[in-house]
Amino acid sequence: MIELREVRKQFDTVTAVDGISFTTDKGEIFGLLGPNGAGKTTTIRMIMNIIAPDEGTILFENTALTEEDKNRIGYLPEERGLYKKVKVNDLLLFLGRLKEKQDSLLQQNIDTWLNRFDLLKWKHNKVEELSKGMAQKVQFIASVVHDPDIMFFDEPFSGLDPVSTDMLREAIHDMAAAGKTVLFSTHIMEQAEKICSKILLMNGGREVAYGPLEEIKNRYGRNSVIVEFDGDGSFIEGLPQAAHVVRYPRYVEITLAEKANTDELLKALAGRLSIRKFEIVSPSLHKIFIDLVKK
Amino acid sequence: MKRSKTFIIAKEEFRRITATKGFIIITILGPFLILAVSVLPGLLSNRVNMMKPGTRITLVGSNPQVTEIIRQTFEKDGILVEEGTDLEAAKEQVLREEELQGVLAVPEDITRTEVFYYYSKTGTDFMISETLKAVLGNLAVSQRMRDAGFEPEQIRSLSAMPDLMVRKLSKAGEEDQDMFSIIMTTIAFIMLLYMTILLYGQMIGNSVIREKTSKTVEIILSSARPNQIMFGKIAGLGTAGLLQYTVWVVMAMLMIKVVGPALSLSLPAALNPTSLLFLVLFFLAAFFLYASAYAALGAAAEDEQNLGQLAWPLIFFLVIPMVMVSPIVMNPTSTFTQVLTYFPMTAPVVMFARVLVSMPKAWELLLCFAILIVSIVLMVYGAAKIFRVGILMTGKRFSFKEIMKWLRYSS
Repeated sequence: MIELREVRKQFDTVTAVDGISFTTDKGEIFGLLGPNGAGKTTTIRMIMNIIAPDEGTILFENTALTEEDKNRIGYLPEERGLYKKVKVNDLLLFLGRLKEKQDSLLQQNIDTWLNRFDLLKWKHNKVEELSKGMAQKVQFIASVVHDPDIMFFDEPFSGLDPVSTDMLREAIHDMAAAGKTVLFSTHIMEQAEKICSKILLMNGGREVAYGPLEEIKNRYGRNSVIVEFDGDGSFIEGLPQAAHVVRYPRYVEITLAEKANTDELLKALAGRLSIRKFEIVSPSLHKIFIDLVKK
Repeated sequence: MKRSKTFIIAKEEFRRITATKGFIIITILGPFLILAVSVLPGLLSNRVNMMKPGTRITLVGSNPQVTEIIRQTFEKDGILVEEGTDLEAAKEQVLREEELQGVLAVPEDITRTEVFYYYSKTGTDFMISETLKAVLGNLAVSQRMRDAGFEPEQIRSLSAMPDLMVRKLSKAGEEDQDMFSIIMTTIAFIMLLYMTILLYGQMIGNSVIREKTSKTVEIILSSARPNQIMFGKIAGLGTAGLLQYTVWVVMAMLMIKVVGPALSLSLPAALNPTSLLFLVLFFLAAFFLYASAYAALGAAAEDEQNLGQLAWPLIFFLVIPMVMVSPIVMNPTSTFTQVLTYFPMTAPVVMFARVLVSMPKAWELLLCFAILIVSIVLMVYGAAKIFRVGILMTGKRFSFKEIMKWLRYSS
């Protein structure tokens, strides 16, 4: 749906984005991850055609993004803020109208979303009367009020309380389940880990890692497996799937070999031991990210 | 039919501006303020309630005859005249007592006096000093004539001063109009033009900054191009300005056609349909010039304070005609006025002042509008370039010079 090929952007002496390529597909939750200053916002702005890349190609459904396409995109910018003096409903209608949607459809969507986020009674209040968290939810609604097919959320969870975070995560899941594409950026890896199906890790404008989340985890963070069993486990060290084995009185911890997966390991063990517990201890994306960036 | 995004932004901007209390108040009260400024000088020159009741002046060294004449002259203005003996003491008294306005030193022989001295608390009580000058002059001259052997009847007829009446010539015919009234009306009108241009310019600049600092602009940029945002804002505010001016013109026309004749008020001659038409035309021209410049600077500025610093060239060009209003009005064809008439940034205000004083030739007006239209096109083009770069530049203050460099950036 969206494809970037070798995209590059320079600001004076700083290369903000340095040869980034990726593809997102329909119904995917794509995470654009990296620390502050990694080039996430610049990348999103280039996809949105707000700024032009110096080099490279950006394709939207195999062609360059047109002004018409912008109407099918929803965008939640990283830096939060809304007009203070405008009423919530008026603001949402205005932003929806800019996507060239009918007022009747917009009003219906506005009411549905305000209701979902418990904001219906604030509909006719001015933005400045809302709490910070409420304003943030309104801003999220602003990005989806025109029922877009593709959404860019820049740090959508920052500053939200746990209840609101859950509401938002659920909403993002629902949208992906409905076949929409969600691309979001964050520097909080735990969030990405929970909802992304595919990620691009960026640092200093460059790609650090790219692919389906599970693949990245397998590739970079070797999984460990904790196995409790009855029987003679002395053969475990010799298994091709095990890179490293640590024995404890009641169990062993096996670090998986490169390219090995847990299924294979389980099969190799199952015939020869009676397994009481088989637990995969996956390394966090956080750990992977730190390791990769430090390299 | 799909509405263009420029139109949607324009409509929103228009709705927001016209819904503010300030806009409604200025729209309704504007004409009354203009009327006050243009009619007030006329009322003031009638000397109505110029001095506070109970105001006094002291005459030192006066004789009963002189005192009586001066007293009679001031009586109708409610100013009391009293006599004193010691000049120095009287001067001190002036400084002490609030209601004592001044001291006149009356010489023993007024026929030989070349200069009379009036010691005033303010130095600006022209009404009193001008009256004293006239009365003392009359007294001295008639006394001299009496000494030369003329009869009182002869003196009256010989010393009667003829008056000078100024009649303004225009295509429409002659009008009774004193220069003072023309200047005051012109000042009132160009003041209105100046204030509204400045107000609308700053409004658009601040509107852009608000969008930039509130970060809303990022959301809007995901739907619309920078040009659409800028043109939308200019069109929206321009429509609001036009609405305001229309209300004013309608009220002014009512004043001319209905209220004026009904109450038989003498309205300033400059308040006529032709000058109102030109007022609207020059407002629109100036609006597009200044609004696009302000939009560009607003996009480049970091905050409202920063905009104030960046906008000095605009303020400068707006203020020149205001400061230079009397040379322009007194001498509409001087080289200086000619230059300002055809320099785009000052043209709207200066040309409008000239229209009010004496209608310029048709080719002069056409040339002026041609220059303005070309300048507006260039200004909007340049402003759009600066706007596009500036709107995404946050966290840094740029100098005017740096911003001008953005004009060379390619799209």
